Amino acid sequence: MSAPELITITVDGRPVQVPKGTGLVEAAAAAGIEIPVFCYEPRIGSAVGACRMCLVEIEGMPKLQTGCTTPARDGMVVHTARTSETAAQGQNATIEFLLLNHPLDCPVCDKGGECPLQDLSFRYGPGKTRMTFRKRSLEKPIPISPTIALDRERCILCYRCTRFSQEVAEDEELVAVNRGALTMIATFEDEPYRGPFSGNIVELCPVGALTSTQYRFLARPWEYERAASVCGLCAIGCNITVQSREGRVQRVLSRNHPEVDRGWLCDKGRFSSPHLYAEERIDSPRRYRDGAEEELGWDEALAELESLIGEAQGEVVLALSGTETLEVAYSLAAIVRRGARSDGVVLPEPALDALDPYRVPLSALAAAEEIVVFEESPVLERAPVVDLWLKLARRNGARLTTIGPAGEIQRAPGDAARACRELAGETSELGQRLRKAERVILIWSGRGGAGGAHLAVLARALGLHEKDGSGALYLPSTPNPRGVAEAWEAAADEPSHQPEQIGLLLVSGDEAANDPAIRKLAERAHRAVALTLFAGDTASWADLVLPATSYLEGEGTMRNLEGRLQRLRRAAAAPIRPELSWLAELGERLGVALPASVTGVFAELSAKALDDISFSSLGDRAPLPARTKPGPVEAPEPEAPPAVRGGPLELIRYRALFSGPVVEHVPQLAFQRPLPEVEISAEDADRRAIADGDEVVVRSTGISVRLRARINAALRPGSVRIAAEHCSELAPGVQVSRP
Amino acid sequence: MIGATAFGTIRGFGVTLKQIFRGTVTEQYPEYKRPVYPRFRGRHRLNRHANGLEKCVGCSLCAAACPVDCIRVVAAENTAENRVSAGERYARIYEINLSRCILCGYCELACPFDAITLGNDYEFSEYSRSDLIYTKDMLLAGPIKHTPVADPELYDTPSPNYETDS
Amino acid sequence: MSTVLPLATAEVWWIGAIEALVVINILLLAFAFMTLIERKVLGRFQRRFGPNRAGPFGIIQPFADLIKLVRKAPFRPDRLIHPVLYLGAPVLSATMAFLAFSVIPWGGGWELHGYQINGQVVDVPISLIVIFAIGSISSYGVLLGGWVSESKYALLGAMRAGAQLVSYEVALSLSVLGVVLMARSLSLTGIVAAQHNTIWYVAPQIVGFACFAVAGVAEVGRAPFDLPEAEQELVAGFHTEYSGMRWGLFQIAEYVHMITISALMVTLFFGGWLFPVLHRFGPVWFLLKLAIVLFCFIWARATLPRLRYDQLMNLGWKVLLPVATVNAVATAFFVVLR
Repeated sequence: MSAPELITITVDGRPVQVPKGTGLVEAAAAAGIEIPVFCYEPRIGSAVGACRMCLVEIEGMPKLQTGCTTPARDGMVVHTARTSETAAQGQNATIEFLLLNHPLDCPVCDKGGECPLQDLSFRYGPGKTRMTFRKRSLEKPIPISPTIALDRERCILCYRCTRFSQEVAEDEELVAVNRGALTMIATFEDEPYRGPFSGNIVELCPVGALTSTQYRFLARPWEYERAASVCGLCAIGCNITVQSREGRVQRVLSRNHPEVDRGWLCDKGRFSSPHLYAEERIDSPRRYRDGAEEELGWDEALAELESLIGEAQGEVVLALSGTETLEVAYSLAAIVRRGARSDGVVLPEPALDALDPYRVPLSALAAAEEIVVFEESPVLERAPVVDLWLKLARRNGARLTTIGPAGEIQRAPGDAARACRELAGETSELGQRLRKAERVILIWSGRGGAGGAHLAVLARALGLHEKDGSGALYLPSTPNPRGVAEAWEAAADEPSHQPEQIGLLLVSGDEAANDPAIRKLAERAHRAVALTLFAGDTASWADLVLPATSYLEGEGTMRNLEGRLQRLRRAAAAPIRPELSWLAELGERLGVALPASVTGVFAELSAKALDDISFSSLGDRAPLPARTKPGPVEAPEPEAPPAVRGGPLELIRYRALFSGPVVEHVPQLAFQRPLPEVEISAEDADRRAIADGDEVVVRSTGISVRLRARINAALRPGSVRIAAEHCSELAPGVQVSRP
Repeated sequence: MIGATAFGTIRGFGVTLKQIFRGTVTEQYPEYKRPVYPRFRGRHRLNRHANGLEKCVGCSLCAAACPVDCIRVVAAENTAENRVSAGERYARIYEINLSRCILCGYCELACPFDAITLGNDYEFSEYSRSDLIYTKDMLLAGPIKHTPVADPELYDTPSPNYETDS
Repeated sequence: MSTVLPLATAEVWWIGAIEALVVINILLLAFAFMTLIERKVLGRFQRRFGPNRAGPFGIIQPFADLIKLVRKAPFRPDRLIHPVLYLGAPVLSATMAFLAFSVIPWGGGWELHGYQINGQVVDVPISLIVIFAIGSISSYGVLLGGWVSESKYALLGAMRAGAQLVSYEVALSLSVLGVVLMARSLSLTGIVAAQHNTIWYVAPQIVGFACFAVAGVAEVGRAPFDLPEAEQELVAGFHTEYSGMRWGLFQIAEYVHMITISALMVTLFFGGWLFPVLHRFGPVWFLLKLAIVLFCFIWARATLPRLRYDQLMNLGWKVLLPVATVNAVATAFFVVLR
């Protein structure tokens, strides 16, 4: 891309050079001058000039112009309120008008202390009011969802929320109704705003009209301690700021990594902090023996664990969830590989480095020309912010092709690997287009990706390594599979023996503890130990349960789906002993030397596997590591998907975004849990005389589930899609019929 | 010169001797408690409206204004069953650490609802530091000991009506 | 007049012992209530009450202070090399102070049921020199205390105090030369006897009296010469590292020393226990005169600001010493001419 053309404008007497087409707000900022704004937010799309706060005087134009909507032109002379009496009066008047009907709520409003209206009123507004009439009064607050409260009296109608709903999240649930002086923000038919990104409007709203009910009245902004951390609930690792008061986490805000999340957060990451204080959280080790539960102290628990490892005599298997940080995974792996001398592991997903030559930041999606998504599990459920990037890409003019059961190019579930090969071949038209385009990005979202190997084969064939701005992204279903695999590899220098049977199963993380496959392994195992946040039903299969810390309470690193190594910081002290400290003690008992601190473990791990980068160099906004050289890719030959047995329709299970042990323990997010629905294609529904919303029975061998039918026009006939938590034990082939 | 010094010294002795006959100016506290001025800044009081609702809405402006950070406010929502204050929210926890408080009165100035005022009570010594952390009910209650106050007619300007009528 | 003024005669040993005991106890009581009286009188000079809460008029205050001192944590410096000397220094000071009082005559002597009771605990022909000698030893206690504390502040304070004490001892001794020449006796009982029926020596020896007064105040270390104990100077001077009752012993030494110097002043210049009438009540007159002199000590403390160290040394060597010497020479001249 050629360098943008630079033009010179003068702002308040200061000349500044900016790229052509920059808005005046950014141009003034480049000159070090603030132009106040309310409705202007470049991430929401184009400026609307609705609030009239950014009024500036431009020489040559008789009336005041809004700086946000005016692009800079060469030679423009701009006067802001600092040097222009008219502009100052204009902004003063704007604030006065905004405050006319604004209620005197500051003492009781949650936004007080971090409110742009307060700050700008101080800076640009009048000191006294001339309003002698009654202010308008509306019903307040109105819960537009269980997590967000709307106060219409405070709303200054900047439309940031409605523009977000329309132009960013594209869910169009929040709209402005009525017109003129009666305009109000509302949802249609007063339905709750049910969407994965609704929480962002709380951060966008410049006044206290949209506030989070979870955080309502908990604290004032000056009473917090902040920790700059990273969300550990999905593989994106959005950068967050966790604010806590008196040692309790109160809320999570976005920290805006422009390459990763662009300042957006999904509701799961934003509203999940109450899981730290759920009643079910275990706070001390427990032993289950002969049906009796016994609480142990840490010394006894470690002694018990040591004896269990000793009993197993090398037949130890470690099951990781992919939610652990690299350091915790490394310490666990060191215990198993060096302490128990066993190489048995169940990694959450295969995560190879095949896609490292095609590394690309998520922000590259915004500038891409062609995007191909192999989507078996919806991207929105796996990595929601990637879905926002895709929407942005499409608005920016990229051509988005989805290949999968519900995609533009319909393929059977499990067939994505073959589709990859076909695209790489010469005959595919789409493939030709991809070869010609400059900026191509491939995304894999679903199972059977062999850790990105298939995608790597395609990327190699398309020659994406040479093209700047092109790349490939593999969306895993757990937050840190690559990191966990790296930690396992690095934990020991020589391989030990592979256990034939499972003497001791060490299950780390609630995800693994709730996984039915791991559960079956636990039944086969002689003994099982679980390391979880919540009690759940570990009592039924584990012999020893140890309490774990959450991602909000730990220091460590995680590698996200781009390959970026990001650092988590502790926001609140956990009420239990951190893992690294007791793992180091356990290591001491087993003769494995492990550091007890994060920096120590990271240094050890980094020396072996991360090119010896230091912990302190990780910084607040982690950079993307450089691309490696492409080499030969070992990808298994894709086979045709196996025939489906049990029923005529093939069942696609997908993990919904709002599922999992963390979300289950947050009551406010219960309304976002996936509804008990089955997505069925139009053709199949017609054939069975099922209408949208009907109750149906989904049957497979021996099991039947009652769900509501939802017709998905894009879904391929022959497939149905159900959220994993409603599937129970249905077989891959099901039949759907009316009850 | 020595004579002048000596004479001056002897005159000094006379000055001090004279003081014995002038009597003492000591006020014997606690038998006699000097009346304080009406606006004397003593221990805090949380006020109520005439209808019994608390004035404090838990906005934390007092905590923000406090130069020594001795006020702790945790707010909560007023519900229909439990309506404590006259607004949307009330102070669920309101604590002032009187061992840190410098009785400057900034909290009284900051409060938008005249909920916290500084009364005239200055006798609140305790034997342990934790007893000096006054909780909300202690602050809502009146002073335990009576402090004599000087005549407001002579020593104060009239209170504005927004302070006396709730 | 030998019936009125019997010189030291055979007193039964156990009466002497009882006398000593009584004198020591009275001195201790005097010290205790001296602290209270000083505070109350000082308060009155400053238009306030002194302590008046502990008991009526604060009478229990000295006992409260005593209990406080006794209950204080008795720390000792970590680097102590001579613990015996450390504990011995305040003991030495206090003991010497009591010892000095033993030769002061407070009464004319009586006969009771055939037993002779002397008017002083012990009588030696050179009792004046004895007092000065004992006083020198007690100033040694100050130096010792400061040095053995192994602390710079204490050592410096002790050095300054020691220098002050030594300088003013010279002036003190010279200022009483005139009295000795006029009384032709070094014994205190002899000096008192010499003032009988004549005008007390304060009149002819006014210069000597002035020198003695100033030097006496400086010897004791009272205001305005209280540099050794000024709190703003060197923490607490030579008794920095002493706490509780050990410090209490230094205080006892100081106050009893003050009482001794006052008693000496009364004896040398105001006729001791003499009064135109009622000789049997010698001790009462003695105590009365002593009280007035002590009041003057307190008065001086309330009035005068503290002298700076160089001013202090200046006064002692360059003013008092020449004046006392001239006074002694002049007195000698007049006595010889008489």
